[in-house]
Amino acid sequence: MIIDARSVPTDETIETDVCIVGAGVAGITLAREFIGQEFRVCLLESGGLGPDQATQSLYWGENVGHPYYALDTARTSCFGGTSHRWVHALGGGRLGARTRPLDAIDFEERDWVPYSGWPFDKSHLDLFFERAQAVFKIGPYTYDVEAWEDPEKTPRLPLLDGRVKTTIFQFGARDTFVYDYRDEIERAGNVITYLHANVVEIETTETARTVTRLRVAGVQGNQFWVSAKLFILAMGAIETPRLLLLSSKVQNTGLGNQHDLVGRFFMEHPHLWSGRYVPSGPNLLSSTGLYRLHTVNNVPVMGELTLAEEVLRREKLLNYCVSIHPVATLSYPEATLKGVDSLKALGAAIRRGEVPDDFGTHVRNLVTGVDDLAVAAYRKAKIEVGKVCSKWPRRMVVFRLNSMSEQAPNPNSRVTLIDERDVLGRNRVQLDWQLSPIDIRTIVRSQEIIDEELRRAGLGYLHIKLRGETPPPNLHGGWHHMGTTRMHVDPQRGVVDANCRVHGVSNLFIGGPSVFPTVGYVNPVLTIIALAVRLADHVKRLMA
Amino acid sequence: MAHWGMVIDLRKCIGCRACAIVCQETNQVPPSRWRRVVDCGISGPPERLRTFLPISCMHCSEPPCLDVCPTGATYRRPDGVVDVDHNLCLGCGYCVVACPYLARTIILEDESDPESEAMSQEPGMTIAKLDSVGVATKCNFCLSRVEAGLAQGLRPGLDPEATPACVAACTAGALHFGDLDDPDDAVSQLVRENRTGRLQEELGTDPSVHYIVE
Repeated sequence: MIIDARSVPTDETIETDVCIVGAGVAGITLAREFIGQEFRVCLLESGGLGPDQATQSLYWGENVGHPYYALDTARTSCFGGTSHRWVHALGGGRLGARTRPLDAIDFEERDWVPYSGWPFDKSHLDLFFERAQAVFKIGPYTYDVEAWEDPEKTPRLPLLDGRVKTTIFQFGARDTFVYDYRDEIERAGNVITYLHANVVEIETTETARTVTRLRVAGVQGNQFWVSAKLFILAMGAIETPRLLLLSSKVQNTGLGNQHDLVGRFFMEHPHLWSGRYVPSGPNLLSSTGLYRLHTVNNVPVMGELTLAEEVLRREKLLNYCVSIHPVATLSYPEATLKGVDSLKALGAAIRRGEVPDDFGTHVRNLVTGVDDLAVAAYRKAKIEVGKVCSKWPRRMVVFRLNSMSEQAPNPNSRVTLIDERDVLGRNRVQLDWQLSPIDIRTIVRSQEIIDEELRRAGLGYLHIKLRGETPPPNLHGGWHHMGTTRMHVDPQRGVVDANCRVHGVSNLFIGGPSVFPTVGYVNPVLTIIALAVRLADHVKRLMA
Repeated sequence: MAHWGMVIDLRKCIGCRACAIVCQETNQVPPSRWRRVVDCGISGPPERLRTFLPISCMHCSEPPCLDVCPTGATYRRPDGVVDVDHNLCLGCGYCVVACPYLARTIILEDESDPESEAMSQEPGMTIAKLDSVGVATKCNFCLSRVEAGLAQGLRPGLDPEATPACVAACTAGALHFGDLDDPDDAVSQLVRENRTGRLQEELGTDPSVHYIVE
């Protein structure tokens, strides 16, 4: 059953057994797992079945750190959650998101990554990842390149000794969470969904050891209560810490925040379009099909390049991947060749009867750039021949590089409350997204290593634009909000325990990416689903 | 004869750009050329309401782009859709200048979207359809979908397969498509029952795209 919470009378108390707050990917997954159980489930969603301007406005907040998306545009408050914003075009008008499981190294405590380490390793989560694949309606739980490449048509790049590898992403459609599971949840006898139900406060016992009920408000002014035996917050990594911090009547720093951890360690996946892959020859385009979004056995997949685990350990890097995107032009200045540039500069100066200021540099570029000149001459000849022979490519192709990498946990990267309040009287949030030097060093060094390996394999080279350790202004996130109620067995180092229960509160759990201690380079959705399935199993045991 | 038109509910649009992305994919055009979503800013506290404005061809009843076309390539169909005969278009660009909605564009050869990861069965550099490269192009309300749907007995605006791709992709229900001349059609009802407006009506273009503002 789905009920519009705006019709619930003020001061009414809804009694249930398990209350889930948030009907996004995590909340929907949890609710589905509970269908048919003996206990009653109440699913509270701030928005309606689809997004709307007024509900989105509740998400507005300040950005004071590295430039980030306006917070009211970086997530979606309605049934289906932020899956409404998945924007990869999967063909036939379908939109979706890419995903894969975290790598084994992502779960490890790495001495070069402060605050790293999950309470369990990847093998523990494998079964849940496999179940998550089915929930997400994507392909089989295999990410071996062999399973997805066609050696004839879509082979992986023939890199040499495995320092650089191909990594496979599968894609799932947004319709799964936007539409497909709506009917199932609506029909479920033991699940009642309340739309337009905004939780404004978590009420606890006097010791804050047990949550007693939630105060819920509609934007039209009605307020009611939901009491339950067990509560699960599944509101994403900005709203979840916001609600905990807002719930400060007993613990004055916020519920679960006795060690000042709630809201800290906000992480994104740094995305950066930077650099070019210049292939060794024009025919390489036809052999890089694996690295573009395509279907294999009806599963949308895409290959990217990543570094081997031993390279990450040796170089003390975060996890990293990069996708390559063909562009049919060499007009981008950073993709041109020094030797060619110098030849052009000298030629222009000679035609004007002048000597250029940096004559020596140009001569040096000419001498050291003989290879560049040969490549340019070959390309020029190829283009000219292509004009009269349509079977040949008319333009040389380079590939733009889109890096997506891990961000190191950083306690100063955080979500806090500000004085301004929304129309429901709740303090709005401030996001201070802070990056660390290792975040940028990882991108730079990873590109250098990929460049070395491409050269060794005779496949071309990278033109690397990014240097240093300062985040460039065009570095952006992917609407992947993670880490703000991190998981750790030690209450002094994590907000939730290994079962996603808030430390010190017996019946409050958190589902969603805010519990990730580290984030790898992988889009979070599959891990969100896997952890939700795992949490659902735990709750079922508790409720039995 | 229907008069195809669109109603856009600005109270529901959250700027997700799904409409623009599926337009790009469906019509094989570069991003934000046939359809774009403009962030018009945000109101003050405490509401903080942000308004987005999806814009495409307005399919004007008095289209300025038609008057300036020297070859007659631009034409208005009896069903209200303004379209371009690419075989007649010179690519002179007069219509691009004349359109007050910036809805027309000329796509250059080999123009690609370097930041797209859209599905492509045949990955390549040129994403524009060959017959529309170098000539004036614009939104045509996904005529091929609408006409194919009608031929199958489907109802544009109700059946997603017969509805412009942008409308079908809008999970917010902000975009509506239908027959503005049919008083029983949902778009007519929306125009009748809400406070609506059209862009730059003072120019006398008589657009077929209506915006619900309140």
